[in-house]
Amino acid sequence: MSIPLPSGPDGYIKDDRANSEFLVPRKAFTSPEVLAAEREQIFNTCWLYAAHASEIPKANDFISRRVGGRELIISRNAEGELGAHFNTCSHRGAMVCREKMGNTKRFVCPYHGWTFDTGGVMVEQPADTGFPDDFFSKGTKNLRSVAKVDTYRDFVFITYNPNAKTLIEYLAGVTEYIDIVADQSAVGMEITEGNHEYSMRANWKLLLENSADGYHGLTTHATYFDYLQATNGAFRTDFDPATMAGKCVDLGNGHAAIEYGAPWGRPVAQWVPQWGEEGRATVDELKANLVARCGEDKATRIAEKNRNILIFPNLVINDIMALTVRTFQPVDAGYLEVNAWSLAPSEEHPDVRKFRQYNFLEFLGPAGFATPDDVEMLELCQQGYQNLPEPMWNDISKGMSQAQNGVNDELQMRAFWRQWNKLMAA
Amino acid sequence: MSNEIEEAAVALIVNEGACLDQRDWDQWISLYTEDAEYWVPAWDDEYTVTDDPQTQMSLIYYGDRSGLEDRIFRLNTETSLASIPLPRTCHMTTNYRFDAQPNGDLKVHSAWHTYSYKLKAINQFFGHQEHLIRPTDDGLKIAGRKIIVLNDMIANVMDVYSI
Ligand code: FES
Ligand SMILES: [Fe+2]
Repeated sequence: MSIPLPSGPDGYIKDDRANSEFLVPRKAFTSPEVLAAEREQIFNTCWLYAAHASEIPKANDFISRRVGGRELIISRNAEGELGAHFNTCSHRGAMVCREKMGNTKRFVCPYHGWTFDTGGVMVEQPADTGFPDDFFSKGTKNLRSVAKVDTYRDFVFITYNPNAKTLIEYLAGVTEYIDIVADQSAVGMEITEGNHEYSMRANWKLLLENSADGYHGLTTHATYFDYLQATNGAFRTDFDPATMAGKCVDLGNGHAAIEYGAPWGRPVAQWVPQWGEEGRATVDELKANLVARCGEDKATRIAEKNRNILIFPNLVINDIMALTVRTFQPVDAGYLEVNAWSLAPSEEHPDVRKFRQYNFLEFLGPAGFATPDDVEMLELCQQGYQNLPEPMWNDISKGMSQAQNGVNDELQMRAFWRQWNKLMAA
Repeated sequence: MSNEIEEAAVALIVNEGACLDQRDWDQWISLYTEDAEYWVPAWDDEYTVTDDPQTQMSLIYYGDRSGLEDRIFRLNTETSLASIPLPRTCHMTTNYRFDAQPNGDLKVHSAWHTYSYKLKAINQFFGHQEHLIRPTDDGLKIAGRKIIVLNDMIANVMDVYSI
């Protein structure tokens, strides 16, 4: 596929380590041909986040959703084994499942009634003539499965690439960060009921960059910080602002994270005065349990640090004042649909769950105090690209001259773009 | 329940929309009691919205009026780019049904539709809602509002002025 981007010695990006300058072409955000190539070379080759196991806990549970641009049925069969099938009938192609989620023994295609079990096996059809006896027993009329499905700590990933390396190899260094999320529960994390769906007139890579961008916090979210400052007890009283500098790490294969001190309450185990003395007793107990389970150092890291985690190419886990799992669908080069959920320990104390959901809604989501401002910025970038038609480049150099990068640097974005470039230039 | 209180309740709900359309935030807030719950549940599956704001996801949830005051504080900072410029909005409410409560409150069910226009783009939300209307020494007040947004693929932003 020919990609309409200028190509140089570094591929489609300019990765000038000698001069600490890193540039990416703006056309990569606006060109439909680039998106088509991304579908082929990124979304069809990488492992993609599909679901959280808690969404389909029981045998015959299913969800249907788009993953990397294709509608899938993600289900457990009668034995409880996880699978993912393309949502298209093996007869003449109709979408077999139109419900978002549920529990069923059979998917019946609405067109001619071909019927499949939750493992995708074709089990019956209504006509009694017209097919040889063994026609359906060869397995060729089953729903087509994706190439591979695998799970890491209850995060369910799929790939359309039969030659993909194992999920654990693919995840590389980001497993450390997924572990920190999964370890927040003694028995297992769960997606809480309900989700947020929102759209923006912006390219998907803008969302990825923004989701772990510390640099924009004080400008884009000035209004949120003003609000917190004006709210009694929203910050911990002994907070050390020096911890905000944090760190930024490249975790391999395009994955990256930032990690930094959290001034605000964290329902996992960091109390703030806003939650009252009763809340304090509950949260202190959570912290004690966490220390018993994970040791002092890791427990303190889990409790007191924020993490924004990018898992290439389609998963963001933001472990901030609440814990959000965010994925998205690029509909076209300049338009994106986002799905976001709140993730929580399934055994969570009701008072703490209340703090969590309150925190979530306060900052996150299309009616929160931060997400709409992010969306507005991403739309402004997308619009800005139209105003200068000659080849232009975005600058992602911040921190490149330093040995260590903090949360306000841009190493996480360079990690993303280097992997993007590697796959696109391949 | 007399027609009089029903008519006054409808006038209050219509007035709420007008306050929002005129961006008269202080007047809008004053229509609510201090303990008013304001809730926009999230969708769970095709036909079901979440039913517990404490444990499940919502789009907006405040247990009392202070949360609405926070939102107005934020709008008044005029630094939230998502609300600059504020959209021109048009609130419409209709199909009232009344459900008298044993404690003297009146629950009013209605259908609503709000158009927003900003930077040449039209957005709209529509749905059903319940207002809990309470007679107080200070006249009728809104003691609770639950808003079901039927079109929940949200373009960019949803705020109290757009629903
Ligand atoms: S297309 Fe599904 S049964 Fe014919
Ligand atoms: Fe942001």
